[in-house]
Amino acid sequence: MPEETLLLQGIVSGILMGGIYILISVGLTMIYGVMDLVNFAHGSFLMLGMYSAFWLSFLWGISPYLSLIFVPILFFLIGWVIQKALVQRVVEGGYMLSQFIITFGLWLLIENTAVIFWHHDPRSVFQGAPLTFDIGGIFVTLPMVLAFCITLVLSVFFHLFMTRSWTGLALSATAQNRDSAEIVGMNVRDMFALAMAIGIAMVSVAGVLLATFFPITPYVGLYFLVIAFVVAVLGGLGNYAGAMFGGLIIGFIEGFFGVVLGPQFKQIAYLFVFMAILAVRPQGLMGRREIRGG
Amino acid sequence: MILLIALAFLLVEPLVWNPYYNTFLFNTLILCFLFAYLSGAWNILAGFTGQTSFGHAAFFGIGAYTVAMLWTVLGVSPWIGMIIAATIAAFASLAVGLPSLRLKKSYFVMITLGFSEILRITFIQWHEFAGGAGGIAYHVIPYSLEAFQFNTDRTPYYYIMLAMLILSLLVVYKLRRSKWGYYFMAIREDEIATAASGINVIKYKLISCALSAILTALAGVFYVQFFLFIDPDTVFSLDVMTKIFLPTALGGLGTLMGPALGAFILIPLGEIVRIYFSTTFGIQGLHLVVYGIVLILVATVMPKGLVGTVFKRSKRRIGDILSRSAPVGIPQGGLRGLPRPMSSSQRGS
Repeated sequence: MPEETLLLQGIVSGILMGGIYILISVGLTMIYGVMDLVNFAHGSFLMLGMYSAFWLSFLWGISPYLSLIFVPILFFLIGWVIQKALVQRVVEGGYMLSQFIITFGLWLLIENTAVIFWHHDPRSVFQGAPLTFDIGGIFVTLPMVLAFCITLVLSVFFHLFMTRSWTGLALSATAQNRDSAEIVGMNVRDMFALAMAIGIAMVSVAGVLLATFFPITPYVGLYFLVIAFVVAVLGGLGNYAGAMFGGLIIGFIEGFFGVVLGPQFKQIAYLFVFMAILAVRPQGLMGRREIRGG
Repeated sequence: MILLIALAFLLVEPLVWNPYYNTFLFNTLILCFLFAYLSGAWNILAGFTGQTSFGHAAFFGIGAYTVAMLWTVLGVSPWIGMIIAATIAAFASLAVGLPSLRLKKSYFVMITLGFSEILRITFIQWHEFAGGAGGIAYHVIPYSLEAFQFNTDRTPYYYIMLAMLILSLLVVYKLRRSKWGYYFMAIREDEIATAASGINVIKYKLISCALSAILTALAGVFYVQFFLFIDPDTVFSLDVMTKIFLPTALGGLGTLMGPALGAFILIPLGEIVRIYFSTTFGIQGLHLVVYGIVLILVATVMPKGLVGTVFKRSKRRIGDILSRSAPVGIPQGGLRGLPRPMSSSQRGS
């Protein structure tokens, strides 16, 4: 394959993957924005989403695209309950460490329970080679393209929700200034739960879509969690629009440097991006909030 | 008094029981020492200075891999390799800390975790560099001090690790009453006030970070010399990272004995759970599930850890040492070295 096509191939694949990154990171950044909480369990919910798609398909033959109708609802409820039952205890006041370790503990719990019940072996939803299109020398697979398109549609709906609906505006308000939101009468506790619920629901969608083309193991969580961190910080922690741009950018960077430097350096590429952002512009592309000082 | 008895027991154990091949106790105790030490090192940055890091496995792995690579490829003695490993770890910690320690704690946690995980993935994928996923295995040398391997009789490992643990406890003990220690704790309590007092906050955060990383790397050196094999999934793993911070979280952040207490509870518990369930039922990873539950409980029920909650502040000396818990206000021992507030008679009318 000529050099330029290889590079272009890498970039296109990267950007398609970026769609998934968007879905994961929007949830993470929203949870941080509203609750000031880094959700270390985010990757585990991605993993659970992937396994949901797998088991629904394997046991009952339900296509992942069909399960997209009800899986997010289920995860929405799970997110709500987890926030109310566990996370709420440490979110207001309390030690910073408690906030970190509660989601970390949840992550350990979920990931290792999955290992116990579902074992290490990678699974996949679709067997055999995926349907591939050749667009001017670049190969794209149907699952990745579908995932990307669904992501785009969801992103538009999400943006509309956040900017045009009362609930969305309330979430933004809570993220901006928790106390003022409470003063004007919003139920801030419910906003917290809502943020977590939406975040988990979104990452479950990402999981279902990811399951259509990515090997499913209990350990995918951490890998994507780190990417989500980079994307969210790049976009500006708390800013979901930034996360959307960030997802595409990181997808591009991964694809580009994967070809230029070699596949084993893809991760180093975005580590450097991460460190560079923190050094040069910590608030990310679109962040507004004060972030200096421990 | 209890401590002295425990210490005496620990000093004598391998001589008394090991000849009877109670290697489970022997190995578990070494692991307890190792993680008590590691947790203590983590505590310096997270407990005393207040900067939580989830990436210490990276420094641990750097320590292990540096020594392993220098030894297997270049034949450099692990004792020299140790110094190089510590230096590399210090620089790595500065590289990670410099952009992120100026920012909110959440950023530091994220980048440390990211750093550790990315290192793990890179080492797995980069076959030519350090063996990739296959890791590095040592040729087993029967018994050699220069090569830091003792395989015919593993007793020296025990005493080395115990010595490391005791030394680290002494370091923390002295640190708490030293200028650095006060600066660290001040940074933890209120960064703005500390900066307003003229202390260079970022400098001391970095010092704390580097110190913590160096100590952690030394433990990595011990690890590879003891286990004679490392791979990215062993040293850069979540398993190790959890065992590094969980003992402190359970025992008491910012305390002297908290990490050790936590380690001596959690490591045997984890080992027993792991071995029992994997041999009897073939279940892997249950010990991590247990650790996860412990974490959730600690976060919700006992955020100050065992030392902070169980051992209340008391006037007795042992209670005095044990009951330091975060947040520490003014150290009970007094304000040596800090300017004394003026008494009202000095203040004038």
